Amino acid sequence: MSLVKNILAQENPYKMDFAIKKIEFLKELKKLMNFHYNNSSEFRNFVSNSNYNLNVNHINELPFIPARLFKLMDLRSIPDETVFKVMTSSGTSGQAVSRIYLDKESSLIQTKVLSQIIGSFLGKKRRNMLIIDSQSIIKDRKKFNARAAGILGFSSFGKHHKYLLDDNLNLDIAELKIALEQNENNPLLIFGFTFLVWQQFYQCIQDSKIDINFPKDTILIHGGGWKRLHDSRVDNLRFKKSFNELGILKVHDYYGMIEQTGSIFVECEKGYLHCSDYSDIIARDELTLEALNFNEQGILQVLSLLPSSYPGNSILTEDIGTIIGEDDCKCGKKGKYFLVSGRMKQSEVRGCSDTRAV
Amino acid sequence: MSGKFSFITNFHHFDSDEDFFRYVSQLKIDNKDFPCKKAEEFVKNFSQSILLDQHSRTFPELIVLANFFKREKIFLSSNISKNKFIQVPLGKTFHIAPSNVDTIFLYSSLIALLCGNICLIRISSKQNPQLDFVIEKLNTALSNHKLMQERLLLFNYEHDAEITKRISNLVDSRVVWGGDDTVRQIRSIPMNPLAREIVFPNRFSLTVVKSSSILKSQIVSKDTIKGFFNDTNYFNQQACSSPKLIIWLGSDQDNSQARNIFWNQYQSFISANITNDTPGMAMDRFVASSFYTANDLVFSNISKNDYPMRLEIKDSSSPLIRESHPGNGLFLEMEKNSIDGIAKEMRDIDQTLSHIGLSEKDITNLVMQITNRGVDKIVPVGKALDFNVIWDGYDLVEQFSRKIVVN
Repeated sequence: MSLVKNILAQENPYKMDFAIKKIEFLKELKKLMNFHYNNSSEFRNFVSNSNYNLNVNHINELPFIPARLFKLMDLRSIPDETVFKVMTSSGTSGQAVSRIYLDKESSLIQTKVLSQIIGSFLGKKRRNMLIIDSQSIIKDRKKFNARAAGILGFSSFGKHHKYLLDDNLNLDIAELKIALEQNENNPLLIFGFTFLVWQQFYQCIQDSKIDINFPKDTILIHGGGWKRLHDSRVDNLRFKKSFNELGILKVHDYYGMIEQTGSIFVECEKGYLHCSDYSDIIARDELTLEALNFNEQGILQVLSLLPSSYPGNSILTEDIGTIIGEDDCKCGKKGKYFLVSGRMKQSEVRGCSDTRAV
Repeated sequence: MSGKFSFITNFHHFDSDEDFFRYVSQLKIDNKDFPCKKAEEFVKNFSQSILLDQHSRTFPELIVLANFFKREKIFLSSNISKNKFIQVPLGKTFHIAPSNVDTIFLYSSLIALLCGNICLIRISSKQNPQLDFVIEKLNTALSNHKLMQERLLLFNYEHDAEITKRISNLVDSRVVWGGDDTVRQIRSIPMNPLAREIVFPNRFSLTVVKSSSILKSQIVSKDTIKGFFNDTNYFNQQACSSPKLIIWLGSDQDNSQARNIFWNQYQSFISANITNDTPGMAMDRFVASSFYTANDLVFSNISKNDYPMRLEIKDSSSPLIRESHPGNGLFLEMEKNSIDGIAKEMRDIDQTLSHIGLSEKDITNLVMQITNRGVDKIVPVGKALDFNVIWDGYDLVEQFSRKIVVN
């Protein structure tokens, strides 16, 4: 049985300590990456043309693919006929999007792992769920992007779903009021993308000056990054505090990417993003890409046991962050814990081309 | 004005877009203005004002531009010989400038001006300090040159094919700087049937090193190393003339020895000098090398993300080799045993070939063996970025003038 299935069989996906992880996790990753080596000619070329080695003794030595490569070319380890779903990133218009190819099995595993990770925060009982987005985004299956995938993925953790934004992404206050009246004593699950949750939910509640009380024990889970909130100078602390004032005491950010759907990094009660038993993380020097020590800020490399239909187990993101420690977070979860501070600065475009990109 | 234009040179008032189009259609040139003395004076003042301003030190490429117009002879006897024809300005020229931090469009527009033409220049709305600096200098110089106020108009409008079409209908020449996509898009917009079009699409450049020339003295001259550094460090290797590929010419043994000598010296030069390298550039190099290796186009010997990064070409036939190069300190390399072998590696898109150690005979030999559109400029290393009145195969003075046959 694969390591993923072993972890799935247990209740808590945060219990593998370093002594075991450095052996078992690495062994499984190597197995997966060897599978991709044998089944994806692109990945095989990437490894063999670069003199990378898959049979390494430390996780830091494994090769990593730049996340942007998924936007530039198709990378997959399964034949056409077993492709079950193609997921794309939610790139802004004009930008290339990543394409991630899943077979039935990997799609199923993603759902199960996500459910186990989120379940460990939510408890077993399914809550009524408020979604801070518009229903239209999931209706168009052709445009199945990261946001839609996120909403659908998280929907299964709740019931009686209510989408609180209209097609123009404006908050339907009446609908919110009804939901709160109906659920006076039921702790809710609220889910949405960070910038929507802040701009279209929190700020609209503030602007409308209505008196709102969320049921006790309500949980807010949000993710997708802080980039779009940069201008409004909202950081995680202010974000949390603002919702605490509305009576939502449990606010969890999560960090994830379309290339590693499922094994997301959720913010713990102490405010740190956490690796689960399915994932690991390394910070690397921004110039040399050498692995850094804890507490040194660098580019984040994310590792996951889930990708089995495409070579996405070890990916270099373009996010900047700091690994704080491993196995010793005060929240009690095992694994590395870390903070993400934003996107790295892109290179300047110089030279004489590109008139149209005004 | 409440229309779609915003004017960057500010010596005219237009009540509406139509008013502007009317104004342009009425503009007249003077056939005696080839070459145009007043434009010469204006360009001299403009160049001088750049060189005299301390702030220009932050914009080395502007100093190069100013020096070019101060020193270079634009009008050579070869392009203004007056036998059997009278050469006159072309008329109204419309220049579409790229959006990036780049002032290369000034070369073609100032040459058009010197040829006695009227220059309508659309520049990007993107703010950047270098362009702001240039505009300030242009406006100051213009305020003392009444005639030039009519001849040089800089403006911006949001991308609008209709406006581009209206202007294109009023002019005798359209000049497009930009990427392939821009050139394609603008080309699809019709212009005055009598008008000419000059386009500057994506280009690629390379360096050829004759290995024996390095082995002779076992050392590369300091000037050559510095020249190569300048060719590739300005504009972060993204200028179309910056070499991105190096072809080593010689026997296998010579090539491998010469490469060692060159790169060792270059590396020590780099470590003693300030480079432009940034994490963003390092990421671009890593992404590009991953893309090349995954597509089986290159082989990488280097495990670290070095600056500069060097990759060995495995398959030079793919257009992806040139299309996917991000600049930013990345060198593709290959070895060839003969000039003939190099000629076979030239592609239509190739513009500047800078070299170390090629003789005049080698160069002629090479040019004669190229069988496609490749290569528009062959210069020693260190001169790759130098502007020339003949650019991308166009003699700009010829392009911005016409000849009236008198027989």
